[in-house]
Order: sequence, then C-alpha cells, then structure tokens
Amino acid sequence: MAMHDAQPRALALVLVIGLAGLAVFPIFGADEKFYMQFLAKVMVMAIFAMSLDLLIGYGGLVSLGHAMYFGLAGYTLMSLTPEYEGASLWISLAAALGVCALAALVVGLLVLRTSGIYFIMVTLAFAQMAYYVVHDSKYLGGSDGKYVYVKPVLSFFGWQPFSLDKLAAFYYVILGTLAGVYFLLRLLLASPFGHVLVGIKANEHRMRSLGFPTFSYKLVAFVIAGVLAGLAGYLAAALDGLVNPELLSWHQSGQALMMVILGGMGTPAGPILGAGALKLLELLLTSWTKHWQLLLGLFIVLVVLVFPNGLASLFGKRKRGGAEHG
Amino acid sequence: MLRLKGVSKRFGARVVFANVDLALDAGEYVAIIGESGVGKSTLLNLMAGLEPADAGSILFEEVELTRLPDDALTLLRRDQFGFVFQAFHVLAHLSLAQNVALPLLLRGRAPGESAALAAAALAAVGLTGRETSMPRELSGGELQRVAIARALIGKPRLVLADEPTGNLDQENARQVLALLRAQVKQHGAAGILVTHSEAAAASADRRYRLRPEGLAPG
Ligand SMILES: Nc1ncnc2c1ncn2[C@@H]1O[C@H](COP(=O)(O)OP(=O)(O)OP(=O)(O)O)[C@@H](O)[C@H]1O
Ligand SMILES: [Mg+2]
Repeated sequence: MAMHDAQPRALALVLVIGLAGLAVFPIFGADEKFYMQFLAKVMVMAIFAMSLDLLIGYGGLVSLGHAMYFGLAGYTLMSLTPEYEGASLWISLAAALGVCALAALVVGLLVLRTSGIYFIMVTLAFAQMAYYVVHDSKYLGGSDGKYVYVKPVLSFFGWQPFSLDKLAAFYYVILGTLAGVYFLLRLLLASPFGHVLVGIKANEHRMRSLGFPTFSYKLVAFVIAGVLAGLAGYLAAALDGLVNPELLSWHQSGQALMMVILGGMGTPAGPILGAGALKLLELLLTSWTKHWQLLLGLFIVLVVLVFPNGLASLFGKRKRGGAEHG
Repeated sequence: MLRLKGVSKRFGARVVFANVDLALDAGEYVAIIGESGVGKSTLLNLMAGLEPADAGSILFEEVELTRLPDDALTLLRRDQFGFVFQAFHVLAHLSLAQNVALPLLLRGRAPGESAALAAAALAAVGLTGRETSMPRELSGGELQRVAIARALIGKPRLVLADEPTGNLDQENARQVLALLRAQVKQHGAAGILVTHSEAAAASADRRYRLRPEGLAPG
C-alpha cells in the first residue's frame, strides 16, 4: 500500500542530491570545522522538525510544546554522563528515548482529549512547566545549564568502531540518523497506520464511525513524535556538549514549527528543506546585519504568501495529504 | 435488533428532539424523513454511539448502548455497523480498493485477503477492475458506490446512511438508492436511510418522520 504521488520526482531528486552533498562535504571541507558543525546542527534540527511534522502535517495536531522532548532527552544524557568519561551511547540513548516516550505518553493522554486552539495551549503549558522545572533546578544547572563534558561512547560488546569526539565521525552519525528517520517516517506513512492517521486529520468523525479507535492512533503518533524529537535533542546535547533550558523553550518549539511551515507540512522532505533554509538564512543574515531577525521574519512571511504549501512545492505539485472528496 | 425508547438530545439549552421511539428488526430497511436541521444526523450519531443521548434507552441486540464504554462502542461500530454519508467521505490519498478495505484494517486480515474482498465489493457495486483508481478520477455517483462498498465490506448487521444522495443528480440518486437497498438486502443487514427527500424515502420498506417531539410513522 504505497502513498499515491506522496512525493514528486523533482523533490526526491533534490533530496538525493542534498544527501549526497552532505555526505561528501567532510571529504572536501575537512578543515571547515565551523561549517561541519553548522551542517550537523541543521541536520539535528531537521530531525526535530520532521518529528513535529508527523503531528502537524499528518495528524493535524499543532503542538507548541514539542521542544519539551528535545530538551528532556538532552538533559537525560547530561545526567547520565559522568564528569571524566563518556556515557555508554546505547544506555544513555535508550534512557533518553524512554524518558521522552513516557513523557509523551502522559502528556498525550491528557492533551489529546482537546483539539484546536486548546491543544496548542495545553501542549505549550506542559512544555513551559518542564522549562521552569529545569530552569529552577540547581541539580540541572538552572538557567545556565550544564556541560556534557565527554561525548557518549559508541561500543559494540567492547569494540569501539570510532569516537564521537571526531567531528567528522559524529557528523556521519547524524547524517545516517537523518536518513534513517526520513525513511522510517516514509515507511510509517505508507503503512496502514499512516493511512488512518491522515484519515483522522481529514475527518476524525468518519474514522470513528468506521470503528477506528482514533484516540489510540493519535496517542501512538504523539509518542513516536516525542521519541523522534528526543533523538534529535540527544544528538544536539552530545554535539554541543552542553544543555540549557533554552532547549525546552517555546522559542525552540516555535523554530521547529517555522521550519515545518517554511518547508511544507505533510511532506517528509519539507521539514528538511525548512530546516536548511531557515538555518542558512540565519547564518547569512547574522553575519550581515544585527537586524537579522526582522529580515528573517520578512522572508518567512514572503515564503508563506508565495508558497502556501511551503518550499517543497517549488519542486512540483502534490495533492496535500488529507484532502478529501465530498 | 435496534430499539429506541424515549430518546432525547439537546445541545446546550436547545432541545433537538425528545421522546424518539423506534423498533427495527433484522433485515428491515426503513427511511427517516425530516426537514433540514431537525436532527437526522444527530439521531444517527446517537444510534452509533458517536454521541451520547441525554435521556432514553438505545438497545442494539439487547445491549444498552448508552451505558457502553467508549472502546466497546468502537468495537461495535467496527464489527456491526456500516456508514454511508452525504459527503462521500472517501479518502483522497487512497486508491478505491484501499478505501474500501479500510474497515478490514483493524481485523487482522491478510493483505491478500483484504484485497480480494475489496475487489469483490467494488465489483458488487459496478466498479469492476477499478481497484487502483484514485477517488479524483470518479464521478459523484461512482464515489457513493465506493462508500456503499466500504460500508458493507465488514458484513455489518446495521447500515446507517445519512442523506447518501444529497450531492447527486436525480438519475444517479435513483441508481445509488437502488444499489444501497439491494446491497443491504443481499447482505441480510438492516438499514436506516436518513433523508429529507420523499422520493429517496420511497426506496425503503417503511417510512418515519422525525419532528422535535418524536418519530412517527408516515
Ligand atoms: N455538535 C453540535 N453542537 C451544537 N449544536 C449542534 C451540534 N450538532 C448539531 N447541532 C444542531 O442540532 C440540530 C440538528 O442537527 P443535524 O445535523 O442532526 O440536523 P439534520 O437533520 O441532519 O440536518 P441536515 O438535513 O441539514 O443534515 C441543528 O440545529 C444543528 O445546528
Ligand atoms: Mg444531516
């Protein structure tokens, strides 16, 4: 059961070229530590934005508190990292994703009873609560946050294929994760589960009358999105080597939301484009003027006006998931 | 199989209808006629447990729906009910076969079996060989045939049709009504057709009229 014309050819091509470009960059830009770090951050944000798009673009659930899971995962890694050695990647990652899954399950059980503007407000409220807990907790470093002194250690039964201290190695891990998450989401959305999710976005009443337990479906999507956001947050904390409350802030949630809208919601590739465009623009504008946020805002308004379906629509028309007949 | 006694529904302070009684036996096909806004769709939603009643009793096969928890109602809808709506409610991003097979998704059928059943259901409504067509390639009448196939694929005991010909021209409406009746009868299901049109209601075995003060034969 494949999604019909879920992704136009041109977009797939752009994506493949982009991935190939990202893959060869460290070979040619080995001395460009700054740009490698920058691209790694963009990819992390792309994973984060994709996770949010699962909720917005497919489930019709506009969450304004998605950074909560991003931050929770980062803080979990920080808590599990001893001062002078790296945490085990498998254990700390499993713990971080577990924390996010649990948090998303609890929050989801409470917020998914609401919809529309209430859903937006309640997700925001939960994230703000988490933000203040972290912000006011001495153990977690308060408003300054805390360092993750040593990068997590990847080992298979004692064998360590490479160290994440090497930026290039970490870069490829992130690139691989990005590709993995992308294909995972495509699989998920082409599956019966994905069909039901899009059906719920289009018309929940219909799916309920067909006998689908729509609440359970939305809850599963909510937990998956939380876990994937956690994956991004874990990578961000490990990459930057520090965590602070900003990771859970509504700015952070809003940034992912902007990436999704900018790139095009309801397309797996849209959020990747959105993340790339937003971060690149930010980089260019900050080096050019201190009024960069104003210009960035203008750009976003322009894009939304000219391409209401996001930058992804530059590369060919597609029927929006969730459009229906009747 | 379906018994309504003294069923009432209000939204806020506004009473939509009160004291609705209805007795429907297995294999019966009845029409409920009513003006726009009198609460026909609401009544169907009550019968399917999609909305709670404010008073009265709704028995389906001796089970009191008004006291059933949500997940039991979900199961009941999945296994016993079939729906046809006015707006076709066919998912645009799925092929015809995928749309028709939707109700089977949750029943753990093998994909091959689902596909075969969907193809047979489509053939039964005159859409032989159209499994991979997309909804946008279809006319309104054809879309409604897909909806009928979908409503019946799970072998429901009761089919609820809400103004299924509201968006169709006369000729298509006549065909769809005849098809709906034939399919319901052929599956040995009971059916309730809700409509504001006398002509549509004429396709049923019996007719009722919905008014704010209740349901009366007519
Ligand atoms: N969720 C709701 N909240 C408040 N009022 C509602 C709700 N649903 C329906 N109503 C009101 O209840 C009344 C009955 O609505 P309903 O849709 O059942 O009518 P209907 O007979 O199906 O009309 P139509 O022929 O136009 O489909 C209407 O006045 C409608 O505005
Ligand atoms: Mg109605």
